[in-house]
Amino acid sequence: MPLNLDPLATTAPALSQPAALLRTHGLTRSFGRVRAVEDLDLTVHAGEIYGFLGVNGAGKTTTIRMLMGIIKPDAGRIELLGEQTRRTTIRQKRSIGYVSQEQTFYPWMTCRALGRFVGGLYPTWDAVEFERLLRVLELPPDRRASQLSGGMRVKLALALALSPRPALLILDEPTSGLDPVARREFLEIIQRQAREHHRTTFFSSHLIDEVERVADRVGIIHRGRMRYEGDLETLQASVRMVRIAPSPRLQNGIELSQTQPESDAPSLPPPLPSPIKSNPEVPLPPQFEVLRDDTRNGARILVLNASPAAWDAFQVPDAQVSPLALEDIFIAMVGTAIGPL
Amino acid sequence: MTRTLLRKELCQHWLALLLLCFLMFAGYGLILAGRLISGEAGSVFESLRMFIMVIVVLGGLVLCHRLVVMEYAARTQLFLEALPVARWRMVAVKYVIGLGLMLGIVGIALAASCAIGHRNEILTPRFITILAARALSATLFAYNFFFLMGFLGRYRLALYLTALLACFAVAQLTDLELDRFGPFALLDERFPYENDRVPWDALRTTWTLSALFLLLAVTFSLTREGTVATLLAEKMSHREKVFIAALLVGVTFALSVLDEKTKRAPFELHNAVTENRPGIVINVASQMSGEDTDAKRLAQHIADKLSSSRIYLGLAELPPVFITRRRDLDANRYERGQLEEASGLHVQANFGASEFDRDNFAAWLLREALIVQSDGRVKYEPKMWVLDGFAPFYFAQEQAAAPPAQNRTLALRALYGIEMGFTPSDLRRWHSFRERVGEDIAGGVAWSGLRTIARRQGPESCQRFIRSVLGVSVPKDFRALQHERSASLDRLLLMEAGVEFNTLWAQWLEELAAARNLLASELVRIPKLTGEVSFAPLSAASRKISYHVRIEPARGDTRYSFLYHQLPAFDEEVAPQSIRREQNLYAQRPNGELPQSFTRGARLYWTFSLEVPELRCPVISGWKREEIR
Repeated sequence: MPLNLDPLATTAPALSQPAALLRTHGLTRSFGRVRAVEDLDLTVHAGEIYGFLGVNGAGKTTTIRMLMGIIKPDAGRIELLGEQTRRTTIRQKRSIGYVSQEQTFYPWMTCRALGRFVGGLYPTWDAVEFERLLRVLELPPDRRASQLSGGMRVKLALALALSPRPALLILDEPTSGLDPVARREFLEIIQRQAREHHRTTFFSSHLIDEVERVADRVGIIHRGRMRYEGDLETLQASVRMVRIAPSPRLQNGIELSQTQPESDAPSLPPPLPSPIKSNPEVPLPPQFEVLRDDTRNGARILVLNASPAAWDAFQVPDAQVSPLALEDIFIAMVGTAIGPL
Repeated sequence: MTRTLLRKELCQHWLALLLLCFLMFAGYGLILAGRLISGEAGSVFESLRMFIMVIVVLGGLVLCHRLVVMEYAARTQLFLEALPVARWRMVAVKYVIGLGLMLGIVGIALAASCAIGHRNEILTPRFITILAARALSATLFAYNFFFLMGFLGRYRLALYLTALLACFAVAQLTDLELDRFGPFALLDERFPYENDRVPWDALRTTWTLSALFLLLAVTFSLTREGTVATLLAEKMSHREKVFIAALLVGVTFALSVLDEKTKRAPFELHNAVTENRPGIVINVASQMSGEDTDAKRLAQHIADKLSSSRIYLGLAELPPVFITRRRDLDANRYERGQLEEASGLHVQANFGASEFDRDNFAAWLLREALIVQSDGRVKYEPKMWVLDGFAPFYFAQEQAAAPPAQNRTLALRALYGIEMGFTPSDLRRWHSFRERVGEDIAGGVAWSGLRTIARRQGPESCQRFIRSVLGVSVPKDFRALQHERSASLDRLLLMEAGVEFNTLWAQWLEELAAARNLLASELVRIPKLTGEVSFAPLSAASRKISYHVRIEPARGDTRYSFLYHQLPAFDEEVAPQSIRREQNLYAQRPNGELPQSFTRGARLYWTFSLEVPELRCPVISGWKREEIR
């Protein structure tokens, strides 16, 4: 069976998986004629780090703003901590820690004053923990927000998000704009929090490497629709590249009659195939789904999606199968010219 | 949650709020002190009215800028939205803080006004309730307006300008009187005095508009998850700036064109004798048959007089004059007519009567023409004495170099007037002075002032000064207010006549003293009137009014008049034609009783009047406003 990329048919979590802390059902939101999020289903299990991947404009921030109750979905429901609502309530928001893409603190407030202010809005606020986080994150308590660097502002946002000891931590591209050192430091904090406090974390990004580094499961959103949800290993085992050597009998397409793997063929050719060109002459088994199809130097380059079992039975003459890096898989899945899958 | 938000707002704005309170109270103190020092303090609540009209409006603007505009411009509301705070609560906290502060400040100012005014004013609970309703409702309106504007972000300045232009357009192009409408009516000139009638219509309009503004503010702040307000708070693009600037310039231009086009057509008087001079058109209604020599002579006389006056004042034109004959009027009484749909000055006079004095009529007509020409601006009280003194001064200017006594009648009027008490503050409170001594006597006093300037500073200086007061064309909008502020009497005297007010005052008194030396014997023979009224109960609610006059020195054939008028609920200028008259021979009836009964609690406006041949005008005992007890 090919990996199911249709969000409507997202498979239910296995019985061994922990209970879902956050789940959405058919979440939809439009801005005028633009459908920012369409019929989105996602599930975040307790204790996991969920990487929410998507290119810019894919609908990540809109989804998160709906999860935070900042905007209201046009359709769909949100199930948070077992409570299902159309829109996240103030009471539910108290169990969420949130770090937004852009930190718009009151510039006149010091770090400590911000803690006092935000603490007044959370009944579970832990002032001792906030002070500890300020120390750990090396944030000067009496410095005004306007005098903090970009990295410090993100750390402060994280301290403010963690101090109420939330059940769920939602981070909306928190590392965008950070330098590599600050980004790594931030990711380590997130991992440590998840490991030591079993903090469920929903983490959006368009950077594959950081999701790959910290996420237990990922959701890939493209043009407002969920393209994939599951673990990274399954994703990498399902999407592979196939290179088919050129044939002298090739006329009007590819005739797949011989298998001639090229020993010097790169396992991951740097340039990805261009978007699919419909070619009915490729005799692929039906359980394989073509994500990309291109011809290069007379060779056919395909990115195919299928279940690991289907790949085991893959028998195509002259074809060389290679694994793909997560980034290549991601680009293959969300390439701009890809038609409906 | 609310407490946290409240604390945040107070922490953020405490210094600005403190400063705002201080400045507003200081502003109130300055207005109060300014009016007391300048002698304009008719009622302490007039200062409160000015405070609300100027300081509270500015305070509301600043406060809403701090509370709303700054939050959205810095986009810090996005931070709040990410926290477990309802958006409506964030807006409500801001609204309540600002409104509470504004109402608190106005409430304190009202209480202070009551404390200051309780010695001079009768402060009934009803009066205080009406004052509070007016003051607080107007404050609510102003605050809600600025609160709404705060959410309109980058367009608010353009909207302020549009609102100003709209007010200007309404005032200039329509017959609507803005000061009779809703919140403006609450702060009109009746504010300090209205102690009986609750202005329900104005209050209802004000509350409705305030609620509408609040509703719009809430709509803007909450619609589409607050994105409307967030987007509006973004800075204006260059394209928008250019578009709005072009729009405002276009609207201003269109308004000025409309203003020109909507000028009313001159009144048409059929069967009239018309005399034209440059900038002057005089129409006198003639008899239906035959040549009307009275009308023709009058038209020529008035046209000549007004024409020379126009040139003296440097005015381009005076309004067209339409004179109709009213045979029921006394020869020395003239009345203004109403022109609802046309422009010009319509007056009524019995100009065919044998005692009709054309010079006297021309002097009166010139004053009315200047009032119409300036849209009433020349009646601005601190400079109104110049208006009253100009006509007699100008028509007697052939003798300007001679001492006052040579113009005996006017000099006697002036001397009679100052014997009733005359101080520099009377110049600034000219209406009160006119009520105390009568219009003609006040005109004589004003004449002596202009004559002093002409004699001491020279006729050219005097002409420059008079031109700066009466000959300047000022648009009838907010620029008029600015003009009066920048062109004070003291400043004009110094700039145009080259004399300081105090110096002029001393010279004026010297001139009058010299005149008194010459005319003392005549002056003592002119009678002075005093008198009183008394109220006799007919029932619990009605009263009979009787009066008693004393005239000294009295003459055998002295005929006096008791003039009276029942005032409406609020004070305003009383039209001469609404005044009723009872005439008696003093020797026979120094007392009298009015035929009709009056309601207890109503107010009577009354005086005694006596024609004095030496002055060629009546003298009065002084107009009084008295509650019928």
